[in-house]
Amino acid sequence: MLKKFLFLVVIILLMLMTMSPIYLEATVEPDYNCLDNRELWLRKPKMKGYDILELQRELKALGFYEGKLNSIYDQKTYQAVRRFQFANGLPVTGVVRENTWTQITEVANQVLLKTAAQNLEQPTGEVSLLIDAYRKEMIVYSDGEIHYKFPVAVGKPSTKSPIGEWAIIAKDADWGGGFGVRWMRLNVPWGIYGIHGTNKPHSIGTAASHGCIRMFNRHVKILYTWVEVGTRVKIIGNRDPVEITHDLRPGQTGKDVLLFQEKLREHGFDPGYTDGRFGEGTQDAMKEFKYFYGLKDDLIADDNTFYILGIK
Amino acid sequence: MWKKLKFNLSWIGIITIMLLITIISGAVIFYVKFRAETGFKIDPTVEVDPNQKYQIDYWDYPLFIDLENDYREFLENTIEEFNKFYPNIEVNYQLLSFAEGEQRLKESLLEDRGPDIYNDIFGTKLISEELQLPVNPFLKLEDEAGAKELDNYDPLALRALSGEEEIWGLPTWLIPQLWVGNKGVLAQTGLDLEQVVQEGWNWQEFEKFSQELSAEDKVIIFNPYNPELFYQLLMAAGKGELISSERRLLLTEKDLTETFQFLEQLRDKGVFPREEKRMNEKLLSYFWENQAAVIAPINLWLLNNLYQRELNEGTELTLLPPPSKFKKGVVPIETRSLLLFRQEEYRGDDHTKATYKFAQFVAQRKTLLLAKKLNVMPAYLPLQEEWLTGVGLKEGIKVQLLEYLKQGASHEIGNFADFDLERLVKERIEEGYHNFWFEDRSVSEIVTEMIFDLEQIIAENKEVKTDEKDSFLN
Repeated sequence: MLKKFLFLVVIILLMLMTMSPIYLEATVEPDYNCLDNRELWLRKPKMKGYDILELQRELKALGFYEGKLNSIYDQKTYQAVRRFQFANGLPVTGVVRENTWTQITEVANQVLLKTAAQNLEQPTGEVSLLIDAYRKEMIVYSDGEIHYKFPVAVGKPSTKSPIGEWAIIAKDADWGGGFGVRWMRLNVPWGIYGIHGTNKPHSIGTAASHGCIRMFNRHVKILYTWVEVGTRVKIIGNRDPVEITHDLRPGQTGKDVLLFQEKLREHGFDPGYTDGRFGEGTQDAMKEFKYFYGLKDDLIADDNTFYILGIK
Repeated sequence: MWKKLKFNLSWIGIITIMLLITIISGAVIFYVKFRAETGFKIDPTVEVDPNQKYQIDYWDYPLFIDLENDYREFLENTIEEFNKFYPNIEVNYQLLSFAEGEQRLKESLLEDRGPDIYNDIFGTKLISEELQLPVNPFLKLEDEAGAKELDNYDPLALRALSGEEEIWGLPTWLIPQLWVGNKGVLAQTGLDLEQVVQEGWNWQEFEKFSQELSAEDKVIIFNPYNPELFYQLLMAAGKGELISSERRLLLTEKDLTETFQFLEQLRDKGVFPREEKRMNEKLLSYFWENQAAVIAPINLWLLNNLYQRELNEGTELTLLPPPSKFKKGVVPIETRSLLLFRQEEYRGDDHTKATYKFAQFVAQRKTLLLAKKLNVMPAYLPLQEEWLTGVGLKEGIKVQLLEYLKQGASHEIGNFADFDLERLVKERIEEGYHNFWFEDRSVSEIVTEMIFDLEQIIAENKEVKTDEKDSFLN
């Protein structure tokens, strides 16, 4: 009897562990748009990719790599990695794993620290951030006044940073790894994007990330103390064309909703933040819109709406 | 004895004085209250005191809705300009939500927190019997040369704001109620557009035209969710006034039946899109894709959106009068105005004059710019010629608008109580209009029910009026 009972408990526990969404939520790594560190080594066919370009850029800046920035893990890159590992007391394998990235970050930060002055005062007013993807720059506002500007790296052309008006929804002070130090997540509805430090400091000032906003580690530490969950973050820059293919309704999210919100605002109806969510603010704007144009008194963005807003 | 009498006399004196005070103050209160209840009288000759500070509250809507043009800036410049003439009149403005502004106004007036001036862009006209001020005392005031301001406003606009010998707002714009046609699609039917513009068209002509449309596989789209179309048809047929001043229903069973039958005949001819109940969803796409020949009803804002888009599209639009039961119909004209209010505790004729001065400044000096931007005809006659030369409309559309204004008609608004009754009547008409499109019922069924309900509404309100009269007499 007892055996039967124990067997049943084990089965239930196993089912819970494998099937329960609560358990999955807690254990499965979320699909962060910026987690892109794979293991790099010399093999045939040669490895290619943007991460290799970044590796070459960092090693070049530190004086270990003299070849072309060609995004290919070739012999020259391999030798440069070995030289770096040897100089920094790491196992000389020519394989780039997390420990090599971390060491590159540390050395690069030390180099950069020597050249950068640090005299940053805590903002006293309400903080908001503007990330200008054109200029690769973050402007910190305090009560609407410019408080400080930080250089950043933004999404590369194939994985652009999310353009829109966001808010910080989570902060983590101890992330490390691919993110460098500190992580501040944005409420982008179509992916996991945030502001974080980097182990590729020489990418700062370029369009290099998978959409996240990279900062120097020393900067992100400072910024982290200035912002709170709820701090508004606006990102401006280029965006891939968005097509609206269906009616939009309250509760929906996505890039099409964001475009629709921007058009509403352009035409004088304020949807609140353009955050890709058909929430309360957008519903209020729709109510005004439909009333104003004498259309059916509902909140659905349909063909008439798109024609008036010039989306179609 | 004498002393006693003296003592008694002084008491009598005191009592007399107290009685006198009570009677006089009572009379004053009664007079003030009576004055408030039985028609508020304004002395329009009272001038604004240059040594006194006045505060005016002005409520408006953000009328330049695109981001390029800031309406706040426009208002602030208007106030600044006004203050050059009247530096002692401080104007505070508020911009309202389009969907909720009117409700907010009504609630605020009930709580005595309303504005001095309200820009009535939706044409409600009568809002508060107790606090709304007529403007005719100012308009009828003669200047030294004997001229009256009244003569400078379009008579159509003044008529639309008149009721019981008062004028209830300072007119700003005139808006003909028109349908929009797709010129290219209309041409396929061989319609003589010029003749329609000049002479209008009757229901038979419109039905014939719709038959030709069907043959060309083109459609007409009426928004079944917007009952304005029904009122436009009634108005074009000379049935704009729904109830008489004696609270009699002016709309007959025959009027309603004929109007619904006109729509039903169009429906039978297959001129509406197949999914008729959802045709409103195709309003603009069908128009721009040259599938719809006529779309209606189109309000001022939607019309402006069409004007703008027309510049980038190959499609050309034209304005059409709603067809009438008769050969020569009328074009319904709507009027927009600035409404003036007082506070429960009257601030004096000089305050009212200050309020009027700002309303007058907006209506006469600032309306031109607004009317040009919004493509509406100013109601202030001296501005109309300048509007014609300055408005950014195509020549053909301007000619059409002028022609429609010539054929325009408006009707008086009656009194506040009748206006409330009219609102109830309209609610019931709108229910009937909704039933026509969305419920599978015959016209006679819908109309019979409507007439029954309307008569009941009228009867109930007659009783209310009689009760009110009785209680007043008692």
